[in-house]
Amino acid sequence: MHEHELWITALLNRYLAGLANTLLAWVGLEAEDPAHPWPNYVALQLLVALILVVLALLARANLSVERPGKLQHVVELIYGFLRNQMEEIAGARGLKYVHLCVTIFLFILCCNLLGTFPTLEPPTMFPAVPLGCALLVFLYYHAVGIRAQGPVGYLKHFAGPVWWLAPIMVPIELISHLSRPLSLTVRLFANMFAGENVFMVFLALTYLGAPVAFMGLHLFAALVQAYIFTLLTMVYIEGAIAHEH
Amino acid sequence: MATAGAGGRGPKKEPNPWVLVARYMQLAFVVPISSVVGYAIGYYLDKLLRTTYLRVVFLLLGIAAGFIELIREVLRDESGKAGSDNS
Repeated sequence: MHEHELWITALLNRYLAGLANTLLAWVGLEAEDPAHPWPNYVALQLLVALILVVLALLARANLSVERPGKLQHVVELIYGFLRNQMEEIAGARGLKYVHLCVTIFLFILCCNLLGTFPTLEPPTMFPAVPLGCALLVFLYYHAVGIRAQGPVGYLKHFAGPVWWLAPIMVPIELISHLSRPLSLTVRLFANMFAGENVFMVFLALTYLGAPVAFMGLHLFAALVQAYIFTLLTMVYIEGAIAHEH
Repeated sequence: MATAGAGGRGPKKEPNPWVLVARYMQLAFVVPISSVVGYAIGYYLDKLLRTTYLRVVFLLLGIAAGFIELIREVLRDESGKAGSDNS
């Protein structure tokens, strides 16, 4: 477990420890410390989910075609940008998969940006969070590929273009696909972990100058990493639904 | 490669620089992570089948997978450039 407990984790552990222990028991697991079953990264993810739900409800309540509000503008801007990106990568047939990409982008962006608020840290600096997102992407793009091309058509991708090379190509393709969630995880986790720690080290040294620069760098990394994760999700989806290989 | 999936839908557009940034950032991880994944698969297969050589075989396959992915990306980029030069 993480050394220090954030205030939001402490709140959850104080009032909802029983709920977490019950949920863990349902899946046959047990908390290391039953008095503190909520880890920081789960509490922070719940906070991000709550923020996103509240923002979505606010945006939905004030939807207007004639006079769109600021929140609606921002949401439309993000959605439009990612939709264009998806169209550019996968063409019109990729547009029906854009919703997952927008959700992943908003979730990871909010997770990354949480580190800029005092007393909070980005949940993506814990490997379990990027790994969860990467596994979701991994399962999703395979499911989409199987749905788009059928199981046999999709599995043909793994055999390569020449039939007699299939015994070598199948393990190579398998390794190549299995390395995708790991590379998504390592990139996001390492960037956020390093950014947060470098910022905290400079903050411990001085309050002036350097920490501000590193905070700016951390903000930039937060945005770029969320974008790259989403973009690679789109690229993987395009690879799964593309008929040519 | 930004337009590779959109093949056959009119003239090729200039690839978005952000897509290229994402793809190239991915390349730095491709060979080491493929090697690690290959070795891990071989290691567990060795444990399962009580052999000792599969980790080496899968490590080599992992390295090959990394290089194939790397070459594919470069070729995709080259074909994208050639397409935009011809259009």
